[in-house]
Amino acid sequence: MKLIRLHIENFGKLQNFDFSFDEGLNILLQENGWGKSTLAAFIKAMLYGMPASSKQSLDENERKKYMPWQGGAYGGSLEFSVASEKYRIERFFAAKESGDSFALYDLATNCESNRYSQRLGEELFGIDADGFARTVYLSQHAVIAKGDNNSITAKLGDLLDDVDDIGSFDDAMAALDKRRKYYKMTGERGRIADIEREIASLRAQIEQLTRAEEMMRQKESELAALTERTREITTSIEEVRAKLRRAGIIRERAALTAQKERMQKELSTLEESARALDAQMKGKHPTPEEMVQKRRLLDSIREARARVNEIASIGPQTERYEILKPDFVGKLPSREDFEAMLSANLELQNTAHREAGLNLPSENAAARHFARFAPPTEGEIKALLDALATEEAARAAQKEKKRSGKRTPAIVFLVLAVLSLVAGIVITPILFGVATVFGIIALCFFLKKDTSKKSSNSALCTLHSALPKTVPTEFTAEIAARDMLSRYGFPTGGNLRDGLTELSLLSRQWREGEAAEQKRAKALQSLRAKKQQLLRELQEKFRAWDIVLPPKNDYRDDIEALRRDVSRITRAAAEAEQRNRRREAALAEQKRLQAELTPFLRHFDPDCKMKPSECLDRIQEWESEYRRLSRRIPQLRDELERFVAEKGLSAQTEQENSTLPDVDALSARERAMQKELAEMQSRQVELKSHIGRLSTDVERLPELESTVRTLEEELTIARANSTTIANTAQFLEEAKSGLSTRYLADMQTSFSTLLQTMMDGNAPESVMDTSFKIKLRKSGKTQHPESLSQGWRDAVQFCVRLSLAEALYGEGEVPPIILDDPFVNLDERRLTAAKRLLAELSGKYQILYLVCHAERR
Amino acid sequence: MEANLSPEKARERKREILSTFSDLVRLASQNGVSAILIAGDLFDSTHITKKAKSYVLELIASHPDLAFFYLVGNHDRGTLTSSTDALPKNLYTFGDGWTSYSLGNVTVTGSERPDADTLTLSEHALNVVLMHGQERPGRSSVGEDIIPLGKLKNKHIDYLALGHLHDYRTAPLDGRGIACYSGCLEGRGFDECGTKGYVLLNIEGGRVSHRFVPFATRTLHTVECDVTGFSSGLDLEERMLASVKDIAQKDMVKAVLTGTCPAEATLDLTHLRGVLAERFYFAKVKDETRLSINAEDYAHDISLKGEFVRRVMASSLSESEKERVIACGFRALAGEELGL
Repeated sequence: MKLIRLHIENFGKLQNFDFSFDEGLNILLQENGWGKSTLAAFIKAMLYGMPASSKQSLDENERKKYMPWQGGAYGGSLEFSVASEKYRIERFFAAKESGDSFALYDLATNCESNRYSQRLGEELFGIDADGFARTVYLSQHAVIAKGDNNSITAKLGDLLDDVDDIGSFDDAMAALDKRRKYYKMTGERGRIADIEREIASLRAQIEQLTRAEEMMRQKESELAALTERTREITTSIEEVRAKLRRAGIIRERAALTAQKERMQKELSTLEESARALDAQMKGKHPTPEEMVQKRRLLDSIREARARVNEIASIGPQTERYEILKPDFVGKLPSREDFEAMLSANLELQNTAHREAGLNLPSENAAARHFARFAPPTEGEIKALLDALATEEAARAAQKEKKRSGKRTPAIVFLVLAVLSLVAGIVITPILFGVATVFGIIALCFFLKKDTSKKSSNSALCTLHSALPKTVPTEFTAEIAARDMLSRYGFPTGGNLRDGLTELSLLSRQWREGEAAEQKRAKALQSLRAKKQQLLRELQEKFRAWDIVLPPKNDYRDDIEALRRDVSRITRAAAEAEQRNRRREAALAEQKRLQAELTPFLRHFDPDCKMKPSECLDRIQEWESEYRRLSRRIPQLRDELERFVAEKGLSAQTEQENSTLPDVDALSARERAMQKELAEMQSRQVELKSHIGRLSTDVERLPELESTVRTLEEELTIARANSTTIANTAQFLEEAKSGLSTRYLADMQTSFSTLLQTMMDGNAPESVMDTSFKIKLRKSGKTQHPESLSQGWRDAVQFCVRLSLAEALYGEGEVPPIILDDPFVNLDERRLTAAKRLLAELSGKYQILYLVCHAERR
Repeated sequence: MEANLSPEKARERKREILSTFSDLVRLASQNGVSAILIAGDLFDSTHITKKAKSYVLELIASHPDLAFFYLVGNHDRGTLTSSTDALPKNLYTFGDGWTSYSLGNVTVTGSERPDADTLTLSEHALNVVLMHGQERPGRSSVGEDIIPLGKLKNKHIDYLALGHLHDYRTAPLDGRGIACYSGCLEGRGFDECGTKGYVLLNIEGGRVSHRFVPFATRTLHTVECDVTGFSSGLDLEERMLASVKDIAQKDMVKAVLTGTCPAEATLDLTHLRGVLAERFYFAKVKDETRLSINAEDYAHDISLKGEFVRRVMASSLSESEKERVIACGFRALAGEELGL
């Protein structure tokens, strides 16, 4: 296919623009902004028309994008040739697709041709508008924009996926796989398997319930048969019961008659008993109140008797009184007696006291000295004292004379002792002993008694005459004194004068005591006589009440005891008197009550055979029985009348004459049938219960079946969905694979050739895989285009696009290649190579090369 | 029954259906109706609950002023009358042969296995006949539960009460009588759409006249909604709502989406069902749209999508499956929900 000429009436910014195409390379040098891309878009629009779009974005809505700025007819014409035929397309566009116009003219005839339709591009090239745009239309923008992703897959991705999403296939497959797995996974998993299991489970349940339903039907049949049989038996039982009822009526009639007779007999008996009782009670029928009164009366009698007995009983006081009573009755001591006794006793006490006082021996200290010898007289003692005085005077003179003679040896020995002592101190201690001996001797001398006496008085002479002749005369008085003192137990070692003085004093005391003693003995004798008198009197008093007391000095306690006894006896006597009065009163009350009760009792027990209480019990018993009979007899009479009336026993009935059926046989038959009926009813209950249970289960069947239906629907849908998903995945996979493999070999060859041309034959070896990824082997190393310079990447891109165009259009009509300044990034060397390539390609393709710089021309 | 109610709603609906029947009985009792004719399929299953059975029997027994003539249908055979308990005295049933009951001057005749040839009715009586089956205009009775109306002509039938079909419809019998399906009292699934109720017979002056009285608590509707050319999900929703705007809120609705749909477009049925469910007692949405794919459009499409379409279209898949595969493929490539 070759473009011949175009005319743009209005398209974007281009207006009334004409351009004639040469075969081969057509270079249009225009500055940036002239409308080169618009021109390229116009050519596409002429071949494919303008797609309908409601998109607002100008980039996405071509119709809107290229709407003439200046207004006017929106479109133009394009002349082209196919083989030897030439045509002109006239297309004008409106705001909507429906307003578009299309006309194809055969330039040979200038007539409208229908050789091609509005889908002329597709009919000519076998590729749609998008495919056309992505293969033979190479813009600077497209190359650069895709330059970052130098993979041929990216380019083919554009071709394969009109949503410009290279990952959409993988995402789509992933989504399909995910959904497929939702429905079906390995190992009997997934929704389909779940539903199948659920359905299988439900079906098993349904099957089970269906069997249960069959069983339920059987049970229902059995139950119906049982019900029928029950009905029959019930009827039979009713018949037997009717017979039994009839028998029962007959028996009942007989029983009623017997009952009537029993009642009549009982009535007669009761009447007879009532009459007998009445006779026994002699027509007197005490009322219950009367009986109560009589009972109370009897109780009162008992109480009165008890009181009498109680009063009569002897207490301790009474007992004491009874004991003392013989001794005291009629001779109880009076108060005066007691006062007299007390007075006597007091006197006795005083007498005894005085006696005791007199009985005490008088303390005569001299008595012991004169126990053996009568005391000396005062004269004797005085005489002796005078004698002594005389002798002492004589001896004193003698003694004085001797005392001086005795002092000299003592002094000598004393001096010697002193000297020995000094010598002991000075010479030897042995001399101390000597000094001691001398000292002792001296002391002995000093201590030597002067025993010399001198008698110078007459008394002494008297004494001296009384003494033996052997006694020296100077000591006669002294010896006499000593004798006298010794005779009366006085010490004789001391001063004899003192001793004699003391003896004189004692002697005088002794004589005074002897006189007092005689006086005391006389008084004592008098008191004792009086005491004896009082004792006799008191003992006489006591003896009058038979109390014998020993003689003693005080009878107060006995008198008080007697007084207490008398007091007790007096009280006991008073109490006894009072008790006697009360007893008399109680006895009187007892007699009065007995007098009241006795006539009543005598009426029923004239012979007094019974005790009053027994009698009262018997009367009450009779009366109760009589009263009971009195009530019961009319009652029974009424009952009998009613019974006769109610039961119709006044006349003989048919049943009484009927033959009694065999009740036992009938009863046995009924029991047997009842037993059978009970068994059947039990079985019916069982069956109903079983049916009820089964019914409850079976009632679930519709719901289960409905659930199964729902699940089956879901399963069908799930299976269909699963199949559709599997089919979709399969067809998508096949589409991608088919699309890839269809163009791979041609693209590989074409790409290598084009790249070699671009690189002056120095291009590295290139490989394209089934994913359309390009790998270059440069300097023995495999490199991805992404790692190359931008110029390299643009060159690779350019070659890929051209190789794709060659692969796509190689067999059929090839559209013109429109290059919208794609070599911006090439260096001068590669730009030259690219121009050379274009020159080579122009022999094969019609190329429209739009460029804005002369250097890239 | 095609309804797909949830178990809870299914149970509720069953209760409603029973309630409607009891309402009918009470209404009849209050308005001096003499008898209620049931020409079969009182229940739609033999597996009715004991509770439901007891309820119906008690309901009948509690209205002794009404005579219930009950002919067993093909769906409820052996349900109500098989009860081992005593049936209410005012419940009259029919056997395999023809059974007649007199109700005043009306004779009610029926048979569970009707033989039209053996039916004999008095010319002078007012004859109401109950039969259950599919009426056929001719005389052939070949097939199960077939009622050959041709054979029932001139049998002195004044009113032939038919049961089996769930819609009200009548068919001429002869010059004297008419055959009539009362339909069911309540629609149970979307195969029982439309107005449901009972037929009121009025016997006056020796003539029987009838009148259909709508009585259902809820009506089931199946509406079609053409989605061809819809521009957005909102547009689709509005179209669907427009198609159901005259339906009462208490009713049950099934919206069937028809027309063509672009392959890339996804019909969000869940959302649409939710939209309807908010407005009606029960709603379901079914997609019966066709893909708006023109194979010619992809004949020269050198793209994965073009190649995909060409391969699918060239395959041996059924046409509907081809549509589904293409739609699924397009949605997958577009990264949208697969809709499957």
